[in-house]
Amino acid sequence: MFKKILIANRGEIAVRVIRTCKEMGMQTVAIYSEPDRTSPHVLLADEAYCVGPGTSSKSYLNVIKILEVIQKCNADAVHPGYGFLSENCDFADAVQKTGAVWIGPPTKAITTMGDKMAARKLVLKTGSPVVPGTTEPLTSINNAKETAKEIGYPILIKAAGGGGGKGMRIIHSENDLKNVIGQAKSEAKKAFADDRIYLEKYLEEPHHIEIQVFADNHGNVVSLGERECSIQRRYQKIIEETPSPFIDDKLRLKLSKTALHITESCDYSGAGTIEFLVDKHKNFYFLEMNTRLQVEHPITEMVNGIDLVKEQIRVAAREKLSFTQEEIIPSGHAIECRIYAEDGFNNFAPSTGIITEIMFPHGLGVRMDEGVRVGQEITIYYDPLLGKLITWGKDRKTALQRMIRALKEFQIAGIETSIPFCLMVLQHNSFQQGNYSTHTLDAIKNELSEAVNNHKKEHDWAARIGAVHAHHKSQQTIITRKGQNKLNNWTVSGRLDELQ
Amino acid sequence: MKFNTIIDGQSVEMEFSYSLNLLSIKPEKEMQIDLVQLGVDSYSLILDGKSHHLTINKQPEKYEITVDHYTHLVQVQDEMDILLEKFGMQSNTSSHAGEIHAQIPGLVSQLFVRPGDNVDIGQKLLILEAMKMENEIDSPIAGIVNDIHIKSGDKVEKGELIMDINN
Repeated sequence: MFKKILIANRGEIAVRVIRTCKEMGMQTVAIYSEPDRTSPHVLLADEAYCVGPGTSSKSYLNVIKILEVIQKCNADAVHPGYGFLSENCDFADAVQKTGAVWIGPPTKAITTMGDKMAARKLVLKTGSPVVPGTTEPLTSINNAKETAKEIGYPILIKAAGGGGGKGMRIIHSENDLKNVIGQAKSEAKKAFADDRIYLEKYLEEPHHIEIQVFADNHGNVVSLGERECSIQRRYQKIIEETPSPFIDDKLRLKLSKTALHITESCDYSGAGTIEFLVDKHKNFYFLEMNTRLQVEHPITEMVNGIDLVKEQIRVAAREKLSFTQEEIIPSGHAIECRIYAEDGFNNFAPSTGIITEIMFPHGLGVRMDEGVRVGQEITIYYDPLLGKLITWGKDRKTALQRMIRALKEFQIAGIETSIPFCLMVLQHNSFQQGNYSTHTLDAIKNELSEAVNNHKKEHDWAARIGAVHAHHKSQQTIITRKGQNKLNNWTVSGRLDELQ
Repeated sequence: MKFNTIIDGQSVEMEFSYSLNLLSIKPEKEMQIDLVQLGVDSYSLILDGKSHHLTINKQPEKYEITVDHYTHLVQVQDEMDILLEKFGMQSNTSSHAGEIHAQIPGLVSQLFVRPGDNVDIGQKLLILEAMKMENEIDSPIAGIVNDIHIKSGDKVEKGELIMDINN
């Protein structure tokens, strides 16, 4: 087994991986950019090396520098996390050339599945259904027009180079086509250095459901069940749960079988996720395979009692999977809310600033995978994910009530977060009933705003009082003098008034 | 001490009696206040026995008060402000619709207009890139671009004035 693992990532996922490495008795190495010097992943790791300035391309994507660190610190394995270099096969190859082990699938599988069009072709060959669309990148606007007509509007434009909603657009009519394609291409080029885009059919009230698979190097391939990821904003997931309230055992089995089939077809090993779209008639289509750990992997861990990172490390060390398909019997229900630095009620605008206070929720069945601390500045350089809150319960109702409780308990000051947005979504009838699709967030937007306004009306007095206090305090700076912060300021200023 | 607080145009006159931690609001409403600072900008408020978590953030001319996760924008007038208003004077200036401020912090990746350009409502003005997403900023009014305070490639802070459009 490995002695020292370098984690080529930052934020909550780096922290997540470090935790498991430490439990396995391994030394951990963090890399960081200059502004991340005091980030938790740097503080938690046994060793830490700066790899460049804030801009990702000069630090967390700086392959040459990272390879130098791998050799310098004598790491015998590299965990890439998700995002950044996790699906970059050149990096995976280069890591292996240094003599370190790549904790991820074989580079060939990354190449095939990472290229969305090559993946479609492969999956079609296995006889599994894919969403109707183009298998070749668009060559011209005319080519796009013809194809769109064949498939039928509305259509979806997607980037060939990656996911995460970047470069993705819906087009309702031919008139919109030209403008939108230009925008999508430039976004795709920036995000993935690849401006190839393709078209696909936009489905009716689709659910985004994915299957977690795991394969070792001894021919074992196991499905760890599904995750329902239909609550998305800007095509990015924000709330996930397992099991899905939408699918039945029959469909669950079919999805798992298809996922296993696809995994076997690309000679896979390690953790992988097969994403499907399931329309309202329960037709399912292969969407893509992610050849890495997913952000939302903790919910699968919670219901299966398995540490997926530990399993990734074991598989990379060429050990056998620690479980068989028969042993996978999920128990209870798990929900995850992604805590983003953004204003959910202002078009999900990113929020930056210094975190002045954090109170993490705790208690039975609550798990916090965090990547930030008090005093840390949230900058525009990176993904706005601050951490993930996960709750487990013996059934859906318990897990859901627990999540609402935990979110209410969760306090972060200094930046806006997705906490208030998640709270409103979870309390909405459609989520309570487990009756939602990827279209639901858009459909209930006004109801959510209304619920926020009602909440605000109820707390009108508290807000007015807070504002008067702040105003009064700014006029009377004397009451904030050092050492008196813990005193009740009204009392203090009252005393001052009496003295005058 | 008397204050006017304004939320969404709704003005309320409030009188505080600090020594008793008591708030009276006209007409005849009284509330017990217990406000204690927890951190740099966070507070615990027990209002008539009900417990709330507040964060306070001062903005130009107003306060951003978060009560149990949801943010209120509150304007406060003290006795001096109220007096000035009575004489028809305003102690602060308000911004007009043609001022384009950055709604989010980010990098100006593309600028589509120049000073002197005629723009329509909804016309694309610039692209603000933040956290790898492109955010299109459209004109809220029709008019002529007067001044542009930034250039392509600039990093802007939230609330920063980007350009003026005259209608």
